[in-house]
Amino acid sequence: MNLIKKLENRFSTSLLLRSLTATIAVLTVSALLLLSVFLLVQDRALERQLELRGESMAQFLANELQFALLVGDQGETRRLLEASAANEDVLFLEIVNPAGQRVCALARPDRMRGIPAPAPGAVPDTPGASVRDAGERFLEIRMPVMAPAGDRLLDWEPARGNRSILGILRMGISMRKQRRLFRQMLLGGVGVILFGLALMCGAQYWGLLRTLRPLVTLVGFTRLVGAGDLRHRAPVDRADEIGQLAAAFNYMVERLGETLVSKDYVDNVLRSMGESLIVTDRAGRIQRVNPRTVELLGYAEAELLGRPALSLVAEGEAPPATAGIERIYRARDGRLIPVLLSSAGLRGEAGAAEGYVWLAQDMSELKRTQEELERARDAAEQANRAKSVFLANMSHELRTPLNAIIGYSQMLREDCIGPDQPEILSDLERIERSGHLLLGIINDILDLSKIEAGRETVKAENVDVGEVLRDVASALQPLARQQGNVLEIDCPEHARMAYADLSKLRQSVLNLVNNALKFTEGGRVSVAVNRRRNGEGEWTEVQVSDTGIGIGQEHLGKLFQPFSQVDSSATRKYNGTGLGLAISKKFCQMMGGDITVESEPGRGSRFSIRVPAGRDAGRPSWPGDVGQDSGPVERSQRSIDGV
Amino acid sequence: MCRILLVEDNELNRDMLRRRLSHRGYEVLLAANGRQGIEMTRSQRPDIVLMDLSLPEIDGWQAARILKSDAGTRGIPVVALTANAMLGDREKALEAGCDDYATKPVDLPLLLEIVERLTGGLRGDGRRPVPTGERT
Repeated sequence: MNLIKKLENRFSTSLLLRSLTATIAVLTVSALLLLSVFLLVQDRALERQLELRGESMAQFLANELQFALLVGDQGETRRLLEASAANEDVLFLEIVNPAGQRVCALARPDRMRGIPAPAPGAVPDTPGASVRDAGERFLEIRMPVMAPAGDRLLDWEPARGNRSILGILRMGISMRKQRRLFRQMLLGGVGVILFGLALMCGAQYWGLLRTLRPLVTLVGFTRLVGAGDLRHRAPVDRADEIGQLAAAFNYMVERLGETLVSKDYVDNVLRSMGESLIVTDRAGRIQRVNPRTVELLGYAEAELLGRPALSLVAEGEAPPATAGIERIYRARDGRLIPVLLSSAGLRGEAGAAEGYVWLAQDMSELKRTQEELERARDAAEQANRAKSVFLANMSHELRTPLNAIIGYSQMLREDCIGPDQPEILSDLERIERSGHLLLGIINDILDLSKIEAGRETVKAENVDVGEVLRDVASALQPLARQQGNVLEIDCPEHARMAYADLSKLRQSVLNLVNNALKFTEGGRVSVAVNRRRNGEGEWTEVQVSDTGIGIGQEHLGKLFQPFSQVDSSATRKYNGTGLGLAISKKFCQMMGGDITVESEPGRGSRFSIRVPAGRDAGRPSWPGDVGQDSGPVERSQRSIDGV
Repeated sequence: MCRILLVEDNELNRDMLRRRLSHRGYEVLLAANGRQGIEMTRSQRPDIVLMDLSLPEIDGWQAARILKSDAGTRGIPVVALTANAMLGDREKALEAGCDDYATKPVDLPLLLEIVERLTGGLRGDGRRPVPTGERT
């Protein structure tokens, strides 16, 4: 049973076996048919030959018997029969007279038991032959013995019409020889057929094998390609259909390699990825993970497969199509791992949803760094706040006693000390001046520290520069008189508007004019306002020129840096910290403008403040308009004492 | 005689300003914080209030707002003394209803000019250039 199954199986899988079997079957049937026809014809021929031979023997005997029968010579008749019976093929001989009585009979006793009855249905006085069987196949020949014609003793031609029948001869001729010959032919034929078949089978097998071997090779090659190895090519060493098939296959593999990424390649990519990759089915159960996922979460791969992917997320959901949301994975040991998660639907070739792909980037390190940065930033901000609070407190705490110092010395000077005490009066003035100086320094330092801390903001509006100059002039007129200077103001109507922070512009102009007056004695300080236009826009320019001591080329560069009065002796002579210009320049820059200077030692200096003429005239956008700092803005509005 | 209410928390500055104003012939009432300043304005009805802005309890801005929202005290001028000479302080003072401001350290002649203007010409000796009979 098993063997049959096996054979069946082998038969159904082997083209060679099947083809061979079919060939053998067809050949065998054809050969057998051929043999049968051949043998049949041969048999008939042998039979006919035997028949002819028997008939001629019977005819000969019948002619010889003519006389003996005519005269009724029993002895002669018997002798003639015995002479014929000497032939070993003759089984029996019988002669009956026309009345049907046996005249004489002879049989070979070792092979024939008696003489068989005549073949049924045979016409006795007509020559004929029929095949009979009595223990042994034999041919029965019937031959009438005719009376001789008138003038001839012997007549070979039967002429029953005018001759009388003397008797009927029946002769049995053995077919044994003939059968032997037939058997020999049969055996020989079968032998020849078998030999031919074997030869044919061998040739067929060899031929098929030759045909099929490249196919088997092609099958092996196809298996390799099927396994994903696209490097192999089938050998093309024939021009026939199989060769063409191999070539077509190679072409297909080549195209496959061009258009498809092989499985190995994808595996390599997944293995090399620094991110965790999870592929789920439509129900969200994990179907595949890459090594990084295993490493990150501490699970064995087998533990992860089939598990709901959402169970890995410590909190929050994972919407199907997201890019870069922050989630927390829970590792096997309970560790929480912050990840940047992107999720996308996995679509099959037909576009149907097959599952999801999760890509997660470990953010632990990033988070740690971020937290450290945040801590550092918090600390810095706290330190900065502390500094601001300290500065605000300091300014208040310093100013309050200064107010008292200045106030009391003024009081003493005004009310208590008479003009008869000029020394004390001038001492009190010194105290007062020193107090103002100190106050100025404190205010400058506070301003500068606020600018540097980025807490100073600009509140821009349309400003009437003429009014600013009026304020400045009235505040500085006493100083001008004191220095013996002439203060000239020229503010034409067309140039008087600017888009600036009023207090900052006022403080900057005040500072420049104050400086000009301080560094000029018995000279002229002129303030001129102009409207200028350049590639960047339209500007309102306030030029402050003096005929004072001027500034050397080597000092111009440092002029706007904090704490850089041109030389330290000047600090003593002219009082001030040198912060005023730095502050003013910063203010103007914050308003979108700038301060520039030209100077020649001994002949005077010219400072120019430039601010936008209108809202959209200068910089494209105003830093102050954004309004990052909506808190109260402290701005110094000082008298002449600053720098 | 012009009566000035000085609201100032710092003792030295309060004393200094009181004496300087007194020497000019003003009658000076003193308050050390905003609450006291409001109470004294209501009870004493000074001719003018000099209000420091950074005060304990109720600060100067708030006090000014309260005085200016009260029909009984609305008519009394309030001058803010901005400790810090800061623009924000000044603008906030005007917003809160102060009639004018003066920076500290006080420039006395400037302050007296303001006082005179706001009280309709009342001077330290109590005389008015143009007597109206409102106060003697």
